[in-house]
Amino acid sequence: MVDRLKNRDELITLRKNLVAQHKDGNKKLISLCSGSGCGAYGTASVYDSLVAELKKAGLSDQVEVRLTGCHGFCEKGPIMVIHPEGIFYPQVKPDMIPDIVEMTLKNGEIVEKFLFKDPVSKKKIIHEKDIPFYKLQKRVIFGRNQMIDPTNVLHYIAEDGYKGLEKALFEMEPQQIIQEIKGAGLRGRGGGGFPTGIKWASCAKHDGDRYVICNADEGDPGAYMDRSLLEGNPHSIIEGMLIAAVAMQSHNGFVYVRHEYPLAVKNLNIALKSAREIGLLGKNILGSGFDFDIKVSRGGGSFVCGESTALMASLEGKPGRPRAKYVHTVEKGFRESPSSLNNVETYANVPHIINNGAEWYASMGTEGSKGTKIFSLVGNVVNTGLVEVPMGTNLRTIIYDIGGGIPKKKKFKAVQSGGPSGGCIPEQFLDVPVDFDELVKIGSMMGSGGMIVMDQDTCMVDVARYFLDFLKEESCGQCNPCREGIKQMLDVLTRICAGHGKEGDIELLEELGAMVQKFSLCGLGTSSPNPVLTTLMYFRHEYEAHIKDKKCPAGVCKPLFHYEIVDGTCTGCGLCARKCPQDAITGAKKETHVLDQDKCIKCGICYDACKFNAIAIR
Amino acid sequence: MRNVTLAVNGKTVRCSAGTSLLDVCTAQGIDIPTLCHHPQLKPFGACRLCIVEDAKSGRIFASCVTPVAQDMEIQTHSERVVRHRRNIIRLIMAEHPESCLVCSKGNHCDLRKIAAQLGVGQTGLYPMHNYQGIEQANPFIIRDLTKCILCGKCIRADHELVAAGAIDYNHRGFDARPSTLFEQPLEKSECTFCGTCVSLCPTGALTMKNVRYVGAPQKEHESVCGFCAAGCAVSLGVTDGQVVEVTPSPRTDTVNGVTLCVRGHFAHDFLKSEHRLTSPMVKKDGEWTEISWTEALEILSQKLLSVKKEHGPRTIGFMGSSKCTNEENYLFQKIARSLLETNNIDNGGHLFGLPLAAQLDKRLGGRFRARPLKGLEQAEAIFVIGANPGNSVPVAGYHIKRAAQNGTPLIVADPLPTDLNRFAGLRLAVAPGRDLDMVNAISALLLEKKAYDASYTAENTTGFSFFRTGLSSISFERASKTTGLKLDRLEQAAEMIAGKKIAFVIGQGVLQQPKGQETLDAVVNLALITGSLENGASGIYILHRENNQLGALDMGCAPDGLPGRSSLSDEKARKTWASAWGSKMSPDPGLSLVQMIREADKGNLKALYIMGENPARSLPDPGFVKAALEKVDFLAVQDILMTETAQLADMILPGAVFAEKAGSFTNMEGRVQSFDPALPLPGAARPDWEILAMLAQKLGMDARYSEVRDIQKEIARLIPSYGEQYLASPVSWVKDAIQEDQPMAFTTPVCWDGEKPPAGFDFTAITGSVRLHLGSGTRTAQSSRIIAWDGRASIEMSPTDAASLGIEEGDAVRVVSQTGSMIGTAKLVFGFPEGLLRTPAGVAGHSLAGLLDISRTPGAVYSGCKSFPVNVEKSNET
Repeated sequence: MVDRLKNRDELITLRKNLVAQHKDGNKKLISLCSGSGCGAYGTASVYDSLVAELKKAGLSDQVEVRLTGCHGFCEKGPIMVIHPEGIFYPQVKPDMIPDIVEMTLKNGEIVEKFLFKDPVSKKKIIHEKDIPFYKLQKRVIFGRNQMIDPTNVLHYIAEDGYKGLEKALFEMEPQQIIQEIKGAGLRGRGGGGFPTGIKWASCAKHDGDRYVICNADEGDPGAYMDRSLLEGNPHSIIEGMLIAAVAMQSHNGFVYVRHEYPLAVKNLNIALKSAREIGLLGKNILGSGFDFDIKVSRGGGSFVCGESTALMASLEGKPGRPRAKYVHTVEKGFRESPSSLNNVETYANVPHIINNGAEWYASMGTEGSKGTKIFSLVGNVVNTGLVEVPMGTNLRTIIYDIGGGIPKKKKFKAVQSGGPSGGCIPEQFLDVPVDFDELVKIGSMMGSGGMIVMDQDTCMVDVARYFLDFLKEESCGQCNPCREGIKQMLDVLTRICAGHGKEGDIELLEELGAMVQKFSLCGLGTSSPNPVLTTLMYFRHEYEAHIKDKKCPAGVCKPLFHYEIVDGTCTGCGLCARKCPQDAITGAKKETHVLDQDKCIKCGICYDACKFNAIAIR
Repeated sequence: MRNVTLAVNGKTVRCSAGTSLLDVCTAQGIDIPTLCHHPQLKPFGACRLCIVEDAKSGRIFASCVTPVAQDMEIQTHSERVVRHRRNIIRLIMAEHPESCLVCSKGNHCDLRKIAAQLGVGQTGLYPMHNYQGIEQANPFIIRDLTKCILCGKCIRADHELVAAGAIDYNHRGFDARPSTLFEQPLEKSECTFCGTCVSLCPTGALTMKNVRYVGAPQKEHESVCGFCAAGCAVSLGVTDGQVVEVTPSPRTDTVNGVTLCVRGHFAHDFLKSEHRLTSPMVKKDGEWTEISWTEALEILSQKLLSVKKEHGPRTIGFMGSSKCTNEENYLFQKIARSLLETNNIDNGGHLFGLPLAAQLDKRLGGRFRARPLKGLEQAEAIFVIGANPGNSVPVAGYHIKRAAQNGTPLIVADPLPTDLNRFAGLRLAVAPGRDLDMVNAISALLLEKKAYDASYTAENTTGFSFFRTGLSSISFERASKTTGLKLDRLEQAAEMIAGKKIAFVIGQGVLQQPKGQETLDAVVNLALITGSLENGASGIYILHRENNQLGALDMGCAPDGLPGRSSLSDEKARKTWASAWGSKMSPDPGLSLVQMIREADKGNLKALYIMGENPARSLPDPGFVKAALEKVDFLAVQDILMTETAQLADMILPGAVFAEKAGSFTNMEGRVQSFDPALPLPGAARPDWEILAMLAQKLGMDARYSEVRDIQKEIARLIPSYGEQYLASPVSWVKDAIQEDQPMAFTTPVCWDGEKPPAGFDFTAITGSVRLHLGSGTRTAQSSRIIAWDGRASIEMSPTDAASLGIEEGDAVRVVSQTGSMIGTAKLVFGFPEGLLRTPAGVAGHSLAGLLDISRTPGAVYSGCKSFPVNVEKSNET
């Protein structure tokens, strides 16, 4: 381990040496993703066999294997990238390792059969940079993940790490830092999109023991960019918080992170420890006389604790409940002191802005939303994963060009952005540029960047019901509109989905939705009706079908549809009959089969099995 | 503060910045419904009913939590706002159970009121019932959380007002409910059953148990609580001539605000006791015979006059009451002094340090008589010595806890753990009775470190140099040894209060100990060197025991004290009073309460008139006291219940409880509060003042009192510290009577070597007040609720001691003193100091008094009953 850095020069020298070592061209570097996704697919066993094979082949000294954080292309994990060439092997299994070692590492050949096959062009692609999923992204924040072992501070330093801190500490006045962030137009990545520079400036304006707090209570279902950043590149967050601390002259920081993110907590703690040991955190940082330290506080998994005042209440050891914000947290937040709370991704942006300048940063993005944004692209999309694109990229690019479109040739129906309380965006808005303001205009929001793609087989009433059920569980229960309004709306939706919907239910949902939206105490409450209101806005006919015709057009709400075998389309292949667990389908070979409705349990196996689209939802 | 101009419903309004929109609108007479808002709780913003609209920005605000802003155009009843208010009520009603129809909250239910105002009947929504079990195992509070609307008032009251920490939110969203830790029943939580949550609950989710009447009382009557010296303003809910519930007064300028304690809320059952005395009676051949008032007064006056004539005025004793009104005590002592020419007059406060309080007043030269408890919350530091306000004066405890919660440094000196400990920055577990050395040592440390207010002492006091010299010889080593406190603890205490104006809270732990007077003097010395007395937010707070102890003293119901706290030994004062009353005034020092009993024992007391006291129960050594009372030729007892003392009497006069009469009480703050009768008198019972007025007339007093007002006029005229303001307003404050020739003087510090415990006693028992009872428990024991909860005396002890004696939690134990013994139930308290026991005062049927020795202190003032040597053993009795 490196000795404690006493001044800036020692850090610069260290970085120079590290970069020089790294440029040693003969050595290969295998970046093996060990983020939570790839980890679940089996990175550990891949790593073990890779190390063993390398040893057997006598390559241990010439090849460095680096377990890195998330690369983003989670659909294809575990991911292996061999540098310096950038050879990309997806879905690596231990039994593939001998071939890779033998052919690629020893002989410099490509293992054709292991290469990534682009689902659109059907072509095999060798290099990571050529894969459309990566090619169309602009990975400013996320890019360094794959070069860094998050448990090794030196890797981060080698990647220009803590350069921004240096600059903030030794070249800039606190006011200048804030000015730079303001100039860059950075807006909070946690969902609200509040201008970060303005937040810092008002926090710095208030006297008291200021706190710099990082919100890592990422709770949107399907969203995991903050986790991947914390797991994969914790030092970038620490550096961002350090710069914020210098800007606001704060000496105490907290990271409030979900208890359900054990790897993030582990890597963050390791990073904090090594940052302290190396003199980048704690007392007299780099000999500047500036003190700042960070504590990690683990949340208990309450969604509402992502709300600033609830988070601070939880941090104080109180129940995580929001309060009315007529006094802002930048004035009286944690322990009644001025507190600046920013999201993980926001902090990750900060070092880049300080390093490259506001102008560079502001050159990316749209008029009102600058820089890049990481989206977590999930649902009915071919390439699920984390996608970083400049603000203003349209939905079509994200879903079709980067995400590879909808699987199984199904039709796109909607994309839900902004987490559970975001809105469902229909096809007509696919060309809308994605930024803070545009999404609000079409009834949704940026949120923390969740993007759930839904295909034709999704029932929008059921989707609204699902999200409301989540929000009902996660409402803190403090204010009546949210606590009871969501519950009532959920009851109405549940009845509609069960076929008990009646005239007036839609109007009731709209009335209650408007009330909850306007009257709730915190952001969770005011945004909670969004899934209902946007689906009502764009998919009202589905509600009406449920209520008036007692039909679920997507075939999701079981009481509201049945399967039928279409005469003329059925070839009588018998596949459905063989697969039916209820023996509900009968028919002679090559003749149209018959489905016994009394026996059918609507499991949908026949529907999925039929190759001729002969099973219809009615 | 900056002013802001805005429009409310089209009307231009100016107010100071920072005012909430709700307050502004309310001040304009606009009725905005709220369910979660209460002026004495921090704004919360949960119910969202108080939403208003700013027409200018189109924004919507919860008015309770939003401060005004310049040029707002507030609409409080726009179409949208009213519609959504109705929606919120519809939702709440959709969650509410059908049992709403038979709910005892009745017309007191805020939800019902607002629903009616907004015209919400049928909700038109899907019912979403949220059934919870009803909890009613405890005798006081019924929790039916099905009716809970999550306004959070109970939780906030628990945290912000009474600082009990019993409840908080549990679960989330629709399942959220107030809950104790681990959802234990209330009785297994930190709940003190103060009932504040019940008073604040807007629905029937929290109600009082054992309400004999379902629904809202027929009328509410403002009054003052009859228990401890806090003097809480209460509202008596009266139906059919009976008090059916007691709640805090809606007035806001009270000592208690919206809080009360378990006694105030639930123990007023004695008001409707079936054991009330309803007719004058005399004992004939050992049997009680009812007689008329005419006969009774005839016999009483004749007896008193004949004893005076035969044996002289000094053989007649008068025991006044620390529970009766100012007017009654005034008249009582006036009869004694002016008509029977005796100064043998005292009151029950004697046992609870009242003579010391009188001394304190003298020492301060009649200064600082008004000491509002709210000052505790503005003090720079609080030093609690020998007091357990959580039990004795709970409302004072709330003030201290709130102050500590808000960051005021708090030092608690007590040999035993109290509920203030968890709020204390420093806890000093001083050895029993050794507070004197502790206080002196702290003073000496402050002087040594020059951390005292030199300019204040120079300008306002005398005798400082003597005091300093006296303290300079103090041995810290000795102090550390006698107090059992390490020197660094004492230094820590000195550090915590250095440079601060301190509020001293003094309880029975100081007042009742052998060196109570000296300890109190030492506290005054410390208050003087720190300059703590001047500021209304610091100074010395004496936690008196009974509701009108201070009033009884002010009214001259003390052997050596004339009305207005003037001294009997002061010839000028004597003359003034004699001429005011147009009578003679004996200069003979009268007998104190204990002296009267001792003289009775010797056969020297021939007649004794007791008003509202129960010495056969409250005094130490009841066997001795009863025997002494038996020896009195003529014993008249005026009381409300057939007490242990009344049973010994020759004549019984049925008096009235505070709720049945008019009068005033003076609380520990020096706040004089008048009240009117709320209830009819039972049977032939009479207000005590009326009995006294009739007797006075019979005895030949010139003055006539046909109503309480007549007595009050005389008091106002003759006692300057009460004066005109006492007549003018139902609430006034005792005025200072500063005697300029008496500057505040330091007393010379004294040391005490302590008493050598008699051989064979291994434990020291410390008497402690209990939360549910007051005094000797005569009245609180009339409440079936109180008895159901705490009918047995808990003997608190250390688990280590218990283990060595084979005692387990809940075992019956016998505590044996030199004088007697008592039975109690062992309660093992973690962290309780070894060798000590806490014996409870006032639990009916478990006579602590039996353990004490009345001959302990031979002087006029009875003291030293705080701690005494005992043994404890397991007992087979129950």
